[in-house]
Amino acid sequence: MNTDSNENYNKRLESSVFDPLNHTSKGYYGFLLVLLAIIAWGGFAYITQLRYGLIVTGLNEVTLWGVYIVNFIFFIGISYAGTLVSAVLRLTGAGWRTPITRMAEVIAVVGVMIGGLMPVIDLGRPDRISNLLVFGRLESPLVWDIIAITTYLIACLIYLYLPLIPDLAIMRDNLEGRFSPGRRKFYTFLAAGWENTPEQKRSLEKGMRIMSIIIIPIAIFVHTVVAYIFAMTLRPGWNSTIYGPYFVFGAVFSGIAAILIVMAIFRKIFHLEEFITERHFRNLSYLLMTLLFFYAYFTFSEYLTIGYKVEVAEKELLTQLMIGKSAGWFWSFIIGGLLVPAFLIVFRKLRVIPRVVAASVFVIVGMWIKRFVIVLGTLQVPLMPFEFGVYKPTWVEISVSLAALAGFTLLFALFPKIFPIISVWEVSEEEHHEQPTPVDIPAKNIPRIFGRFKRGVKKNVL
Amino acid sequence: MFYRRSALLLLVLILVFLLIFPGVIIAENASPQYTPSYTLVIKAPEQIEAGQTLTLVAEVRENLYGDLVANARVIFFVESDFFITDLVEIGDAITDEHGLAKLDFIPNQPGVLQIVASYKAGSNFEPVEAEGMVNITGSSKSLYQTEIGIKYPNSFLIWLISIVAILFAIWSTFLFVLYQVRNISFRGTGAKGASFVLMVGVAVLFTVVVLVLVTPEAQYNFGYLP
Amino acid sequence: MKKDLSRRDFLKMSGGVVGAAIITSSLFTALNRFKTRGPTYQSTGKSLSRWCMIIDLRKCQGLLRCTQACINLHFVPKPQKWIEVYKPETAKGGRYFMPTPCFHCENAPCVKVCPVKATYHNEEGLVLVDHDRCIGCRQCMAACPYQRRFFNWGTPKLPPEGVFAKYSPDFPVPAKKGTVIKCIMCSHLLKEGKLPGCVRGCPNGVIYLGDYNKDMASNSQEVVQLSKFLNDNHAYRYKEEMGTQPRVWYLPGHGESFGGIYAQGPKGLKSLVWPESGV
Repeated sequence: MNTDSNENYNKRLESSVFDPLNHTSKGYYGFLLVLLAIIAWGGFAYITQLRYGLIVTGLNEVTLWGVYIVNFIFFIGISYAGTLVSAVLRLTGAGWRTPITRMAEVIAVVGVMIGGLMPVIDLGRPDRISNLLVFGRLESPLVWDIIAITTYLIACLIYLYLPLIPDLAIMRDNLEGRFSPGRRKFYTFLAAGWENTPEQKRSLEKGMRIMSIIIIPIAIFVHTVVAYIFAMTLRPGWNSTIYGPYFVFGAVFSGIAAILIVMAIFRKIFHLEEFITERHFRNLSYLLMTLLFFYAYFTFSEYLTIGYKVEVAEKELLTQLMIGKSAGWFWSFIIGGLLVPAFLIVFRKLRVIPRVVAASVFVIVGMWIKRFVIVLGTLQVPLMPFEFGVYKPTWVEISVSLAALAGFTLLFALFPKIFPIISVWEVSEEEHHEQPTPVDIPAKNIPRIFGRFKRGVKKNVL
Repeated sequence: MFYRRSALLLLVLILVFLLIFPGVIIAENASPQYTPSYTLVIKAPEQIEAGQTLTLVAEVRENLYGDLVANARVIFFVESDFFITDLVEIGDAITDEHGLAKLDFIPNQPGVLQIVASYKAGSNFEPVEAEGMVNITGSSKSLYQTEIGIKYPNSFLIWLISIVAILFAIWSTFLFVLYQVRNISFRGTGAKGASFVLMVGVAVLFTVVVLVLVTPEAQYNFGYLP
Repeated sequence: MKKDLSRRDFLKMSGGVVGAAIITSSLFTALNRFKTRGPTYQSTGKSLSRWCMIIDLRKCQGLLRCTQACINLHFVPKPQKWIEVYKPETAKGGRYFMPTPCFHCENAPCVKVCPVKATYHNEEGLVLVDHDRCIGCRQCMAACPYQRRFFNWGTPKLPPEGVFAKYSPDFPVPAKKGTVIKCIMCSHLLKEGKLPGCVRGCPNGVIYLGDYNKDMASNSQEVVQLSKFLNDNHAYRYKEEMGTQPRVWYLPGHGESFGGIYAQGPKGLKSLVWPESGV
């Protein structure tokens, strides 16, 4: 009986996941076209910027970094979903993570790609980018950034590729007739001759175990060096010793929110309700809550330690943030980015998925605002006895930022059309491990929270 | 009788007058006023090496009897050609009981140093000047050396080697993991190749990253700056 | 049943590829060594100087002649002011004037963070920018605690003598779009034995140019001994606690030499004229 339902489950999983590889609805194409249009408009805006220089943006000598750098931190931060879900949860043996690992790894790769592109867009002379390779200096935080992001991108790509191999083998073997020969050759090439033999499984396990261990320090390193671009300067607000961990925790925080949103969207579009269940949302919401607490703790200690002493420059910064020019942004982050999501997660009267996804949306927007406050709040504090600077993003910056977001979404939309969006073999394997022994264990005796993935009970499926 | 008395009175008056008046005349036409004048002499060694302390000595003498003057304030200048030619004040000194004013000066640049000393006895007096020359030998020294940062030996090499070592460790791990993929394809049947491409790509990228760090054009700050 | 590469063959091939990669990268780097960064300092055989500046705040009246002289001399793009006269407040509520050029710090934060060493110290200690190398990341602008670096956001409109000037880091004219630019302490004039534009332009003799090696300073009207001048007048450096070790000293004062403890307002001040407006 159980093996039967097991097989049915696997069949349903495969059909849900492999169907989109061939069948694309008109609406989907329409959506892709809209994204392409936004990207094209952003490209036009960038060409304008190349022609006239950065004068078309709202940047000036005082606010010398703007929306581009905020986006840079934002997208690199979002990529931490991959590290957390794939690597950390794997090391801690959380079996429930298996349906969402693929999405998380894709977020990691795409986030790093788009994020790494933003500083290039921000450069005054992108035609001289080869100078970074030829004349690069180890003493500069930007070069640390380049090294760290390159290393992290390679690590994420490898970590995306490894679990893809068995799935590609499934596609190569079981779905013969559905693909064109060229496409099939592509899958065969990437599948690296996977035959599901024990030695191959051992090699794969070894590879994945090593990657999951090493990707965690790499990820911590990456966002720490992103923080060091700011922390290595002598400006109020940035001249802080805890900027490294502050940014890392912020990244994991926004990463969890991102994976929650992506989960919800794909679940809706590809009808994955049976595989990505309330359990996933609930567990991730607990993680989100934990990280919210950590991030609030870091933010609080940052502002308390400078607010207690009230040095000259920091006094200016705090006045501006709390009651001055940037007060609107700052308080909307505190309320909308911290308090409202906390309330939504803790208040359990409503249904899980809508409230957790709503909390994630608040968190993502709030974290973008917080990074805006971090970058521009400090820049707007005058260091010499003169006027403040004002920053107003222009259409160029807004278009390019929207195009970056569209690019992120586009790569995400294309991925399920090429590769399966759920790691089929991992879910099946987890199923297999969770296969109850011939003795039937009554449903109510199996612990619900953070426990064994309980399946076969209709109640879980929404 | 009357004429004898008036003549006596007149004589007395004339005597008194002669007694007083010459005194007044004498007093007025006393010996002519003497205006002191001074001579200033600089005594300095003929030659000294740059960076050594040069003691400049100025002697003030009053011209009448050649007395040495104490408590006289002598100002010292050097001639300089620093964008414009001007006398640069380097200090002042007060003469002691031997009439000598001493000032220590450290010349930094080799060449001929022209020294001028000036003494002004009071607001009514013209300043008296004296000149001297000292030959400065040796190489140029400077006021102070710039020091930035904390210096310890081989600091740069330690940093560079540590970072390259860590990067090498991480990227070798990547190569090792891709080697597992190669093992997968090796132990299977049929298709091959993906692992090889990937490993080559990773190796090339790594060499580029490392060469970024050791390029000679990077011109790291080794700690010394002018 | 086709076998994949044997381990030995694989190692040989990857060794070859890595070796080829290293050789090509080394060649690339070596060839770029010969790419000069512009005219380097031609040693004239004289002893090198180590420049510094002293600004006498007792004499500054806020005339802005220094700023205008600098703008005229270098065709400074609008609205940059490489030397800017700030107006800090005094305790009694008035304002005094503080001319502020780039401090050419010894422990310069801008030189430290540049990813391509486009900003560097020359042999005389001045901090210059190589505009052929700058990538415009503006990290140096973020790092400068005195906000003395400017950016060419667009292409500046210059008169012909500015457009066709011969560029060098010592005389960054014409300013290049998308790079960082700042005060160069008139390095081009110093090499010719002339005082910087701001020093000559000041009618009150506020700004002195000094040389640590020669222990002299001049404001084009007089020459003083540098160490004595600094010592006797209680010279200080701005924001010394930042540890940047600036080369510009200030002699404390509030415009005493023209009367009044604090300035009532600049006398004879016209607004600044940039090269593109009206020339």
